[in-house]
Amino acid sequence: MTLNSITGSAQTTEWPNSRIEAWKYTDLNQLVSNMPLSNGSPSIPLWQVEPHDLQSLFTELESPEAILRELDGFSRLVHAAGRGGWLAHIPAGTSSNFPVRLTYTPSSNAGWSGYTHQIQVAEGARITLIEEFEEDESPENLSVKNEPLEAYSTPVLSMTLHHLQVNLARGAELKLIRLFHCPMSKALVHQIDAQQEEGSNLEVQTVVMGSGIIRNNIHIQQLGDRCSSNLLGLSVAIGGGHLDQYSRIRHNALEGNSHQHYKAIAAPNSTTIFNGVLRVEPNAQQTNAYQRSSNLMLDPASLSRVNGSSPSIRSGKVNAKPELQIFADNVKCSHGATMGKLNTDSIFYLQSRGLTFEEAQKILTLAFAMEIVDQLEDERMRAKVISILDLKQWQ
Amino acid sequence: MLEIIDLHASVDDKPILKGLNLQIRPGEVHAIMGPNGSGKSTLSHVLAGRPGYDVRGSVRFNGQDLLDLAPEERAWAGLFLAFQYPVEIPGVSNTNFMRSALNQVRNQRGLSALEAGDFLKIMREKAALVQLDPSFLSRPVNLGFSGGEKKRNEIFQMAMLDPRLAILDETDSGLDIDALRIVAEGVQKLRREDNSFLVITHYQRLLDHLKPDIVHVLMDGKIIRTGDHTLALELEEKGYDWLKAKFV
Amino acid sequence: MRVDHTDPVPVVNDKPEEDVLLNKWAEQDYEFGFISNIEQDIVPKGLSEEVIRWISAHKEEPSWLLDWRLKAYRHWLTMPSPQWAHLEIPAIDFQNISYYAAPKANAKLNSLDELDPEIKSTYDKLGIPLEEQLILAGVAVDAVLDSVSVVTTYKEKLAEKGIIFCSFSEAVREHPELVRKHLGKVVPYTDNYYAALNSAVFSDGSFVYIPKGVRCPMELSTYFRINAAGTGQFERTLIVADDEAYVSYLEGCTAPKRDENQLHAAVVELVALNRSEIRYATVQNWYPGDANGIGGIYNFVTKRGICQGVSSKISWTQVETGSAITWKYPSVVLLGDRSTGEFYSVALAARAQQADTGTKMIHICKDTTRRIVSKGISAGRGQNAYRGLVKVRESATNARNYSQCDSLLMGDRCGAHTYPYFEINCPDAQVEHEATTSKIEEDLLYYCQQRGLPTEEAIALIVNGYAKEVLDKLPMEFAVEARKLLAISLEGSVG
Repeated sequence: MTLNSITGSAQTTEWPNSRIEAWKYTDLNQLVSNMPLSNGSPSIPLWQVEPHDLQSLFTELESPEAILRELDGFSRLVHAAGRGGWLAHIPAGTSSNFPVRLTYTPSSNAGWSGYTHQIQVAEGARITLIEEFEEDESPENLSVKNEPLEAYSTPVLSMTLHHLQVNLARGAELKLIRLFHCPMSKALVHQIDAQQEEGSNLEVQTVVMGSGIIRNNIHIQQLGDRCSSNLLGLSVAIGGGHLDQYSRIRHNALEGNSHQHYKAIAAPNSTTIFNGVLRVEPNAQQTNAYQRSSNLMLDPASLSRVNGSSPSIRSGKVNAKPELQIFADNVKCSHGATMGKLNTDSIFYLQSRGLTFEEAQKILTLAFAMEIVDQLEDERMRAKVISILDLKQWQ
Repeated sequence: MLEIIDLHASVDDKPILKGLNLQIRPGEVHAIMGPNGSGKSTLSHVLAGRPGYDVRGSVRFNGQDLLDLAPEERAWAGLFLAFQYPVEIPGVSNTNFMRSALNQVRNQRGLSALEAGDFLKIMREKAALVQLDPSFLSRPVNLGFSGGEKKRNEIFQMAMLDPRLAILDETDSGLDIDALRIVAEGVQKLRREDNSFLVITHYQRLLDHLKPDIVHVLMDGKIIRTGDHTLALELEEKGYDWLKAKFV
Repeated sequence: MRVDHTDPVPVVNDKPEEDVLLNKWAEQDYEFGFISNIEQDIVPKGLSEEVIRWISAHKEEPSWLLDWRLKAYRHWLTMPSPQWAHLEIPAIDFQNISYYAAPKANAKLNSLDELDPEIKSTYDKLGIPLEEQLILAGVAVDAVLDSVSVVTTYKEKLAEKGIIFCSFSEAVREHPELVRKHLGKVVPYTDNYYAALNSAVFSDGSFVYIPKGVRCPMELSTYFRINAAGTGQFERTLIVADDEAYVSYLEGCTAPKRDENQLHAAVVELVALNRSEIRYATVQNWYPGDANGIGGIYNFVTKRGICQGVSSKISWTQVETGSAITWKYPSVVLLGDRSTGEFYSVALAARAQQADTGTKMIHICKDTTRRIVSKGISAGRGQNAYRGLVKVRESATNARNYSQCDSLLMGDRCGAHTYPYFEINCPDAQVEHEATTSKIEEDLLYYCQQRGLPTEEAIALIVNGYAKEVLDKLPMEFAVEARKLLAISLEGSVG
């Protein structure tokens, strides 16, 4: 099925493809174009809300058309494969110390499906949302498990697209803490489009892991003065995984703040990508913005000591592209990106204390990740991420 | 030399100087003391022409209306401010900075630009005066200097530009005893019949070396008391509270 | 242009508001905007195989070169023009450009005195050091007026050491084997749109060959100059440093003021063999257009070097203050083990100038090192973008790469943009990139003013300090010129 046949010839917006700078490293068009549209609704509810008494905050989305703000290529794609979604209004005065947990059901059908969600946080309201997106290991995939492959060049059996629109009214605060976990031959794509009014605060913490394909987009527009946006990200790509984190923050008002820190670990055959766009419009004076991308690639040579050498094990790939677009002069904006390997002195230090080379390497890799994990503002999420990290064979 | 009449200054509608009067004659050394927030540093910046203050009142400097002049014009007229917090200028060496500044000031005074050799000679001489290590001259202005080195560099620049009136804004803060003595001796050597100093300080220490002719107490934006050097001793002993109780 | 850095800038006695000053800098007149009147030998406007055949025949080129040009042209026809840079480029009518202009050949020159007085006076106005004193100072000049080398000095002294320094056309005639061996090997005609165009129609340029073990005893410099209305200039430069050779090459440009856009699409290829070193410095001051962006040069340049030999080194240094649009990424391919690439850049965009510049480096072999320092300055309505690619192949073990990119914004109508790309495919690469954006702090300005410096001079001083790390990499006389150029570009006090 060709994509254009879904929405007909009136299609003017391009599907996300590698000729568009933002999709340079993950060509959605190519991934999706040979895949059938998944048919039928999931047999069980797509998501579960915890605690249960807050279930009423989330209502089934009747028609995604009604809430679509702007139709970029991605939202059209989601819409084309539309399977519903949720709608949440957080009323003024909400100030919960307990987070709301949403757990999404793994896709049961082959093919691709899209969901559109919206959350509106009213003036002064505060809420924390914890979301878990986990895909199952598909039975078809188990047979090829021992052969290292690159997820991006392997057929993808199912792809789930989520599009979340966020509106923060004056002084509102939203924290999103999310885990994406995806095995080989599955793909997860998520996009946030957020608009912030005066004095609002948005925090998004995202951990993406696995050997499948994950693309995580966060688009934020600061429309009111004195907004703050904080993004934290960790990518752990193993077993051929292709994990792409993209952010775009547009400062469009006075005295805005934004802070981004993304870390990525790429195991052999696996790819991590960070692309962050920071745009400061001419009227956004006194913006304070910071963007950092730190990357670690695991060495196949030293790993082969653990797992036995295999000629099919190749270096991973790290792509990083932090961008500054500054149109205002009275601003403080900076970014930095690093790519490095584990410090050999540190490995030696641990060895001198009696650890094996492999143990030392694992501990230091975990330590690299822990800088982000420690900042996740949810105990259960931290524990879960650590347990997954611990189980990972670093291959 | 300097005559300040009814000087008012405010920042963002917050009044800081509230009708200050002060007169300095050639050859005199004045000290201004006062508690934190009394307006001492504001006075120095208003005189040097820092942007951001709303200023009313009259300041005459050797016959010119000082408040009408741009900061660099005040410098040409012979006013020098030794900053409390000297800024760092990356990539610009002390030498290059001083040569540009000195030639500019000389040009304004109708003097020709100095030959490179003459300039370097003067510079070494003045550096010796404040015991500034010559290696500092080729380093970028104040970059990576310690607090004491920055202050010494201020006095060095003062010696280079040979001002008529030098304002030392808390030059003693952050100096150890040796550095304080070096700075004070430097100033002493520069004292002449035709130049004057306005020394802003919290402490008696610097005044022990400089022996000011006149000591003022600045409080709440006004000079509330003026006396000779014994006033400073009295303040050292009693603090400012007794004056506060008496005058405010 | 070549000026002594002695007299301070005239003093401005009034007290201009910062905005007024910023406007003034942004609209400052181009210092070297004059038109010289030299009889030109111009091919009719338009681009076709016939035009290419005409150029090749006119230059009496061998058939292999004509074939190469035609292949490039046919490839160019299949390419779309690039859209991805942070630039707004008006559509260029390639049929409305004349692809060849040579000053009319008089008799052969025996000395500088026989030079066309008009050309001589143009050079004098620019302060180009064709005069004896500069030759004595050790500068050999291959001056390019429009498209053909007019005069080459000091060739004999270089020839003694076996160094070849001549116009590209002459190299094609005298050293065809060297040209044929290296031409298009660093920048193939398929590389990009403008490289393909250049390969098809290139007019002339410089050729340098430093033989094994020779250290070039003087800085080599070439002055490019665009001088005919509506004439695109397509320079081609090829520098080859053989084993253990060293050369420092300087390139500087100014162009007369014109009201229509002029296209400049040069290609520079550098080849560094075993343990050799090439330093390539550029001071570029082409007409940037007026405050509304009318006129000005389009500068779409492909510069690339290959560190082909072990322990070889290529260093690019550039000071870019001119052109309406600059599109330029001097690159280094680190092919030899333990090779080193460097890129030092100051780019200034004032008025309505647009600059998209930076570097690409591709680490292919082991133990390679790269260092990048980029200083952007934006004023007026200028838009300045740094774009840098660091690519580390799987084979490039132990690669090191460090980039520092700073942007300075002056006024609230300009922009500064930073686009670093990491594409890393080797686990033990160590790559770092840092970038900052700032304006000139008011306190800094006030401090300088308090010491007696007028605002304009204070800004020039601070900006030069900001760019110092890069300016220090230029040969002495160029550094002086570059400092002056930065000050002029910002001040508007010299007209």
